[in-house]
Amino acid sequence: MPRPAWSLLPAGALIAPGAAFAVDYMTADQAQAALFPEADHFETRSFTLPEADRARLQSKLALTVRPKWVVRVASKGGKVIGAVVVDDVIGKFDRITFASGLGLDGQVREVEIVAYRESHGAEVRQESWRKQFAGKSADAPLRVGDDIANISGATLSCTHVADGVRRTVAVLSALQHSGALR
Amino acid sequence: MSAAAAGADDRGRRHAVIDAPGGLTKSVLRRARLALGTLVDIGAGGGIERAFELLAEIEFELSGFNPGGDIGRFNQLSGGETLRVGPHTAAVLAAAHALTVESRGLFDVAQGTGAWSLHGRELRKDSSSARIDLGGIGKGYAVDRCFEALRAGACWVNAGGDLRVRGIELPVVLRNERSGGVHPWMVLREGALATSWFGRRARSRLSGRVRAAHVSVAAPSCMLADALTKVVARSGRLDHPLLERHGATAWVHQGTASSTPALE
Repeated sequence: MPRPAWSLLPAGALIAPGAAFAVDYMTADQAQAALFPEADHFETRSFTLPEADRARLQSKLALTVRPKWVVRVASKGGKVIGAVVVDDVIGKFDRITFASGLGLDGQVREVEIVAYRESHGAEVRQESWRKQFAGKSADAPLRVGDDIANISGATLSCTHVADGVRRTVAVLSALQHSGALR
Repeated sequence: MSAAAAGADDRGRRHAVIDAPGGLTKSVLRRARLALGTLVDIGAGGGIERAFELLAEIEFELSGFNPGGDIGRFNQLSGGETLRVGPHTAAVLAAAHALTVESRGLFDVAQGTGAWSLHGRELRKDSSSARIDLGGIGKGYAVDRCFEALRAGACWVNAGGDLRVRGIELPVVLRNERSGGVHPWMVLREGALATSWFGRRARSRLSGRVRAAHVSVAAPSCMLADALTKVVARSGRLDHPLLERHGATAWVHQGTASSTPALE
């Protein structure tokens, strides 16, 4: 060591109160329009996957697949052209809301990040913290935040988003094959 | 960037309206996508779509995880074989080579696995054991190119902590990686900042007594900032001469404390 370069300030010297921040990139309506710019109409429909389909998808994907799905069905000139799902993944300290879609041509659409929520910390695991965003993260976003997270903790969550996209595409594909999206 | 409000343009797209320094209000569209293995957040007056496309092209070329990209293909070559690489790979490797020479081997994209050489766009595997990993410089390079694709004016690109900004005061916060939560750290207005984690399970190691820490470097370009974090970590010096030569400043963070040469 040429000099005590790694000596640090006394612990606490730069401690600031922990803060949370949130960024809303777009609304769910904007996300569906970004994924299917050619669509002239979107219809929001709720589906419940038959238990056999749900179990089959879950084992095929090696991911938890819930039975209930809210799907935004895109159409153009009265003809269905694809579908969008807005979903969340929860990371270590954050929650990412993303939109992904599938064209009826089988083409997976670009993934849009809808919102990013950084928690104060442990509360990300608490039901109350999760619930405050329920049904709110997309259409009625919270205040737009400005801060830029510096440390790359979002990396792990991005793997979760990729898994989430895989799950969405598989579910939409199953719904399409069953004829539910017509 | 003291306050923010939401607005919408005539196509109904949402804007983050940011109060810029000097009382100017600049309208910046903010978007995020998954790229470079992380969440990439871009704010700009325009050019965001092109910037994301460019990121995908660069990532394809540079990623060692992509067997069809230049680095993936180089690592599969036998000794003595040559590969024609894309312009991005050539640019990063030329910069990496210069930094290896300048840092006397502290920065090394082959991490001591063997020799390689670049002749224009021809990349030669001089020793059969050579393996290249652009993890220490590629993300910064991609941020710079993507940044240049954005419309002139206030803008930023933040790829999971490797970021570049101009024309706006960007508050940068640090996350506590153990317990979560963030705290304010600095404001960056012009230039780049990169932060790398060095610890027991990280690809790069710190020298000195600190076992695990984040090292941040601010520099004129994100590629330099990214690469110089490795020079700082491997030399154990926050005053390594390469920093001054490139107009850079380094910090090390442990927990919620940060230190710089100036603060010591």
